[in-house]
Amino acid sequence: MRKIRNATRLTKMVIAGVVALTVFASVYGFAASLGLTTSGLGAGSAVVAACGNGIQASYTTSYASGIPGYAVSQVNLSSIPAACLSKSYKIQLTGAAGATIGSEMSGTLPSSGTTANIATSGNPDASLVTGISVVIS
Amino acid sequence: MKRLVNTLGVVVTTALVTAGVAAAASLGFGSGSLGAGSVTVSGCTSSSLTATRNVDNSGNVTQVNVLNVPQACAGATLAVTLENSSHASLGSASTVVGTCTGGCTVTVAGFGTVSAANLTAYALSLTQ
Repeated sequence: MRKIRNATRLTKMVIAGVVALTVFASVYGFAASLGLTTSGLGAGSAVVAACGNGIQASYTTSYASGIPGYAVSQVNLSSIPAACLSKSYKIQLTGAAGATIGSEMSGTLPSSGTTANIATSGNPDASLVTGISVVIS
Repeated sequence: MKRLVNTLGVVVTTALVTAGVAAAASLGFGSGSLGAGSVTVSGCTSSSLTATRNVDNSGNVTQVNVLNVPQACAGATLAVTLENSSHASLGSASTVVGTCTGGCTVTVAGFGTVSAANLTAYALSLTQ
């Protein structure tokens, strides 16, 4: 009987450990998906003025014989709130498991309008891209 | 009488789809306090597609037919580049995928004068 009780306690400890690890992994994954690892900002740990929401991101492609296939040629931001204009941005294309695809793009958003078309470099393979991370600060 | 046959879509090539479907998803700026976010790029298909080409009597490609494009891709822009054996581009063209029932066959034309003899592969891209 004691053996059973001990085994149950051990099982509970194992389950608790697994749950704790799962929660940690989820939080870590969420932070990574925000592109914070590339920006150096911790989730909620840096004071960054909110400049709005609703920004849309897409990309365009062009053929690259070096792949061979289609590469991402531009990242297109639209619906940029006025408060985000003239602010600095960093953009990173990502692939499976959050791996970076191509080089990080950085610069300054335009001072007017609601769109920004940002050229990539190095012909990142469009077939590998599953996400776009953006930081505006 | 010389037989005018416009279609020789006998070479069926499984083309890689550069699943470049950059869905214009909203960035995750929902927290409002951080000017940072990410977009998950969800393609309308992750499957390889099959393409055929039509050839005129001069041996030039007149159009490419991409088969079984899913309905989910309706409204997306399908771009096709014809490659030679060195993967150099012989010509490119694009069209918007229309709506249809089941899998669509999408026809892309306007590659210019491209000899079918030099065509060894297709590269496809679907973007929104």
